[in-house]
Amino acid sequence: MSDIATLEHSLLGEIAAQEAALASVPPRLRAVRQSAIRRFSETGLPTRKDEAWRWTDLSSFHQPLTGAGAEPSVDPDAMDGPFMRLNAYRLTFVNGVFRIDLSDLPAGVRAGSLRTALSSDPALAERLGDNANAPFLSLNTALLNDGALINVDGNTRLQRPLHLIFVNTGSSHIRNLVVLDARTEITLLESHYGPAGSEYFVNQASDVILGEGARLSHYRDQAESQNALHFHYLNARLAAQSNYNGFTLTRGARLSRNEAQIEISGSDAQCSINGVSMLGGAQISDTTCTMEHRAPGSRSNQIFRSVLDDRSQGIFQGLIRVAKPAQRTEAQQQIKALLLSPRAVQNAKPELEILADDVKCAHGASVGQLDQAAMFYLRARGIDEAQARALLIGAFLDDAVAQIQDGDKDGVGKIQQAVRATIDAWLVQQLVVENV
Amino acid sequence: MLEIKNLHVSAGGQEILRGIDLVVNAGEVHAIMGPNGSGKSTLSYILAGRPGYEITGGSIHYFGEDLTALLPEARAAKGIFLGFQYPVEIPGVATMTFLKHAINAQRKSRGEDELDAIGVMKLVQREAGKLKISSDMLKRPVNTGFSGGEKKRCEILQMAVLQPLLAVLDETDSGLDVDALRLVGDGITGLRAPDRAMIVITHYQRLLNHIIPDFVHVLAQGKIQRSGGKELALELDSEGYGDMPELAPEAAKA
Ligand SMILES: Nc1ncnc2c1ncn2[C@@H]1O[C@H](COP(=O)(O)OP(=O)(O)OP(=O)(O)O)[C@@H](O)[C@H]1O
Ligand SMILES: [Mg+2]
Repeated sequence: MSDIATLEHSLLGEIAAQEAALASVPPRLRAVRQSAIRRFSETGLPTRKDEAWRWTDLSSFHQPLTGAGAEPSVDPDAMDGPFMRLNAYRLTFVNGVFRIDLSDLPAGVRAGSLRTALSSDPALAERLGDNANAPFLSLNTALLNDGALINVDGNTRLQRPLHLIFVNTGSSHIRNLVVLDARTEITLLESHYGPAGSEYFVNQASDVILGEGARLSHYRDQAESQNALHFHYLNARLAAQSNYNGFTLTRGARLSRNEAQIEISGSDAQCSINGVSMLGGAQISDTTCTMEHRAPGSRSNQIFRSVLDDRSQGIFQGLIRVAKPAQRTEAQQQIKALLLSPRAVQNAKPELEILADDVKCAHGASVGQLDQAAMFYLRARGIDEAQARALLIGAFLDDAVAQIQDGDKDGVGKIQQAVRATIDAWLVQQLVVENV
Repeated sequence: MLEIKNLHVSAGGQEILRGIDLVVNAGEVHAIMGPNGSGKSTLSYILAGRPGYEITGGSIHYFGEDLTALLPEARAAKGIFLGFQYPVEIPGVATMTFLKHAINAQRKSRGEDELDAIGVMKLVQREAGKLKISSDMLKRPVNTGFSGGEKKRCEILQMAVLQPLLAVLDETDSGLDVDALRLVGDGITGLRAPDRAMIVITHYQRLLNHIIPDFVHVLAQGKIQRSGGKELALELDSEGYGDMPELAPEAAKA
């Protein structure tokens, strides 16, 4: 049996074990989950023959994809990440399950366990996205543990961001459903942690539904254990004049995949999806994004920067699709990778599919090394080699960090600053270790 | 302060410097002139420690210490400053941030207290004012999109805030208009001090009208061919290297 088949077998076993429990689930949710089970059973896990997975080879991973982990200790003070010290409401999930005792919920906003919400309001199940070409999304729906439901209606304005903290030791299928009614806005932060060295599989999916003129700032810090697998599937739908601003900082996990399926279905909307990956060792990070413009006059931009050390590998696949009615679309995509080691690799495949005639689209991908002339200039001024490298790499990554729109009312740029501090700390650690 | 003996340097498998001898004492200003491609910038890089050059013979001592054993950053901390012929653009790093890192890296290396943001700002703005460098320019990334003249003024600003002991200025005068030349000339002259020395690489007499050199050397084909006082620069300025066949570049000889 090939490794993929082994992995698949274990997942199907887990699905079978859960199927009996489905009987007690409300019918509408049961129908959605059963259809996902059928879909996953048909498609199975992707292999490198699938175009969307041609650089990410699951068969080389031996981490278990199933199995509950030991109960981790949750100590927010010990968690080291950009968002931990920001003043925010907090929702904590342990192995994918909401923990109200570790949370601090806002008033006036529906925010809490998705699982609980689905049992009292089964119609919500129909808002969970599905996609024939996304096996891990189907798997997520099939095995759905828990996650956050966030619904902001027109009467509320949150003064602080909402911060989702995920602590994992075992395999979990986390699902977040974020529904912003017309003209509402929130800042949603995510932090993902696991005990150093532990092996587990996080299969997260987020459904984001933005009403007219709604605004979501969505920033993620992925700091899983270096032996974990972390998948995130973002399924976002943008109505007219809405605004999605996203950023993912990828620094954890042995293998991570951030997949985004964005559908701009209303006119004059804006979507900005960005990220920084900082990888070392044998880490692999895959960013795969489909940006679909279906309505006129919308703008999208994607700025991704990665810095790759040791034998790490970065993968970027980005498709911008502009449908015929989406006239006056402006879409841009810019990917740059910096290789710090001769064994690091970046693969990039930017693609455009444009059916409308009045559009402005630009895309570019580049892979390079540190500029030696700039290195010498800095060192000639007394800045030592590690610090010079940190300065240059920090500046390189900052193009993506600068895309974060700080919605924080008590201070402009706090989130950006926090992200920069985390990047700087990584650089110091990575570059100092190297010099030893 | 600086003693270069029979220095031979190669790069890319080609010998560029072929036996340089030069002694620079504290308080002195030495001008180095010479045709294009004669090795002037190479000499400046060797002093600053640029990787990619191989010293195949000779020695360089700085305050009695073997300079070639030191990293570029260590040389900077010990007071060596290179004003680049082609200052390097560093997108994404604000000039003020860069200066703060440079000032404090050198102070730290010398065991001095680091300056806080306000201390750095005051120091930089005082010197920037003298060179007519706006605070807007200090916010921009290092040399990025600066005009040729702005880059050169910025080199002098760096020298002024870093207060080196040995400044090697490689064609700091090229690309400057008359007013900028005066600002830069005044900037350099203002730094002349009994404990400080300068090596000024130039093609033109006009900078040397501002900074009167103690010695003028002519570098050609990787060697110092002639040395003299300030009048040698005047002579070269009016006669060129044409009258000195042994100094002319290969192409001109043929
Ligand atoms: N890294 C290198 N590899 C190969 N050749 C080099 C290298 N650096 C310099 N050279 C060559 O060495 C010679 C001297 O170059 P250098 O830049 O020192 O001249 P220069 O005197 O400063 O000239 P200019 O007046 O034009 O600035 C040139 O022929 C140049 O092409
Ligand atoms: Mg030169």
